Amino acid sequence: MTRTEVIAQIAIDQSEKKRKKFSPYIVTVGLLPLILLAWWLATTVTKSVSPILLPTPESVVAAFPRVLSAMGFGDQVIRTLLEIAGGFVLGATVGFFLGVLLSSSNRLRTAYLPFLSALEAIPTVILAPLIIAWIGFGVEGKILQAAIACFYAVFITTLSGLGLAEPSAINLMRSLKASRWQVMTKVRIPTALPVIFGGLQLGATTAIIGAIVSEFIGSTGGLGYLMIRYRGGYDTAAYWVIIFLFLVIGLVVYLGIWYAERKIVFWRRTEITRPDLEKQ
Amino acid sequence: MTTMTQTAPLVRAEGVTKRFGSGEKEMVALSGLNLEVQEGEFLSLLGPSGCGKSTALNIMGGLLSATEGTITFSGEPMIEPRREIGMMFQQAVMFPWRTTLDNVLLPVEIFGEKKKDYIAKADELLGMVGIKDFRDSYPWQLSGGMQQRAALCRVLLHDPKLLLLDEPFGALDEFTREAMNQELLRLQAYSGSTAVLVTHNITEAVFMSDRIAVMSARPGRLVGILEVPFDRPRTPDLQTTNDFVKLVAEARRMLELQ
Repeated sequence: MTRTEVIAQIAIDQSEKKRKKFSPYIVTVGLLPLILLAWWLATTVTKSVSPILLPTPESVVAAFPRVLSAMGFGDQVIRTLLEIAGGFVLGATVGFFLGVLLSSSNRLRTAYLPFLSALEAIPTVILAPLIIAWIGFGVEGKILQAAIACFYAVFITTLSGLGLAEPSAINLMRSLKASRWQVMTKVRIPTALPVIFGGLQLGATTAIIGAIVSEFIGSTGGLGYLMIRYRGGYDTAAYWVIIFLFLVIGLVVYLGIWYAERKIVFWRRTEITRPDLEKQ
Repeated sequence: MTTMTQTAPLVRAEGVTKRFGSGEKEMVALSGLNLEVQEGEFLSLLGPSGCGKSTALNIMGGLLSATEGTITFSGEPMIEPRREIGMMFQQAVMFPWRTTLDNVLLPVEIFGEKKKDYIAKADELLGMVGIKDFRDSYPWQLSGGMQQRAALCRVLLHDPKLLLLDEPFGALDEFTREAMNQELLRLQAYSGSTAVLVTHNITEAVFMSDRIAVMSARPGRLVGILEVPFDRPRTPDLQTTNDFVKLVAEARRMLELQ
C-alpha cells in the first residue's frame, strides 16, 4: 500500500468504526477512573513522582479557578479557538477543492500528487519558524499553520472518496447525458462524503496540533503561549489545566463533526429496514 | 438484411465490431454485428456470457463506441448517449441519499427541467408498479425488487423512444423476476417504447420478445434471428403451451449450434 492508500484506509476505518455504538464508550468511560486512580496513587499517595514532573490531581483541580480567572485568559482561549477554527475551515476547504480538482484530471493528479504528499511530510515544528519569519507572530500565521497541518487529510480522503462511485452509477449518469459537473455533485461527492468526514475528523485533530505547536514555537498569545509561561514558572499544575482544556476542545470538535456527519450522511447511520415480503 | 419493412428501423447496426485492448492482449468482444431494431418492437439479445450482448447494448446506448462499423439511431449516427434512449442495468442504481421519488425524478434534474412538472407522472408510474406508498422512503428501506421497480419508473419518466435493458432483473430471485418481467411488458405496452433486452435466460427471452437475436461467444457474433409470433398481452400461462416450448427448444438448438 502506498502512503495515500494507507491514509485513505484509516479514514475509511474511522468512519466505519463509529457505527459500533456501545463497546468503545464502555472502554472510554471505564478507562478514565483507572487513569485517575493510577495518577492519584503515584503522586498524592506514594509521592513517588516529583510534583514538578507530575502534579497531584488535587493541585490541578485547585489550579483551575486560578488559571481560568487569570487576567486576559478569555482572550487567549478565543485566540487559540480562532486559530484552530480558521485553520480548519481554510485547510479543509482548500483540501476539498484540491481533491475535487485533482480527481477530475489524471494529468493534474500525476503532476501534483507527489508534490502535495511530499509537502505533508514536512513536520509542523520545522515549518513554524519559517511561517513566523514570513508573516510574524500573529493570529494569521497560526491559522496558516493549522490550515497546512489539516489540509492533507481532507484532500487525500476527498481524492480517494471521489473515486468510490460505482461504475453502474456513472454509466447511469452517462446514459442520461449528465455533465461532468452533475456527475460530480450528484454522484461522486455524496458517495465520497462518509470518507471525507473521516478526513475531517483527522484534519480537525491535526489543525489543533498545528495551532498549538505553532504557538509553542513563538507567539504573542494563545493557550500554547500560556503553557510556555506556566512551564517557565514551574507551575506544572497550571500547565496541566491547559492540557485538560485541550482535551475538552478536542472532544467538543470531535463530537461536533460526528454530529454533523450523522445529520449530513444520514443514509449511513439509519437502521436498514428491508421488508422481507415483496409488495406485489 | 432480410425483408425491408415499410418504416425505417429505429436502430441499425452495420458490421459493428468492438475490440478491447491491443496487441497480444486484444480481445474481440463483438464481431461484425448486423442488426435492425424496428420501432415499437421488443427485441432480446440472447446468448451466453462473453457473447458481446452487453457490449452491443452499450454501443446502441452510446456508452461505448464501435471499433468498426456504424450504428444509427433514427437514421443519425450514434456518437454519444441520447436522451431519447433510456438505460437500465443489473443494479438498480438508487442513490441512498435520495428518496424513491427523488431517485425517479433524477433525469428531470439532469435535463434541467422543472421537478414539479413531473411529480404527477412519477406518482402515476410508482402507482402502476405498486410502490407509491414508498415514494418518500429511502432505497435502503426497499427490497431489491422494489428498487428495480423504482428504476423502471425512472427510466420511463421521460417516455424514451428506446429502452435498453441490460439484464435488469438478473440479480433478483426467480419469483420477483417473473413479476418484474410482467410489469415491464405492461409498462412497455403502455408507453409504446421500443425495447432491447439483454438476457441469458432462454425462457425469459421467448416470453418477452417479438424477435430474439441469438448470439454466440468468443468472438461475440450474431447466430440468427428467431421470430416470436405470440399475441400480446402475454400471460404466464403461455409458457406451458406447446408452441412456446417448441420455440424455447429452437432457441436452445441455435445456441448449441455455434
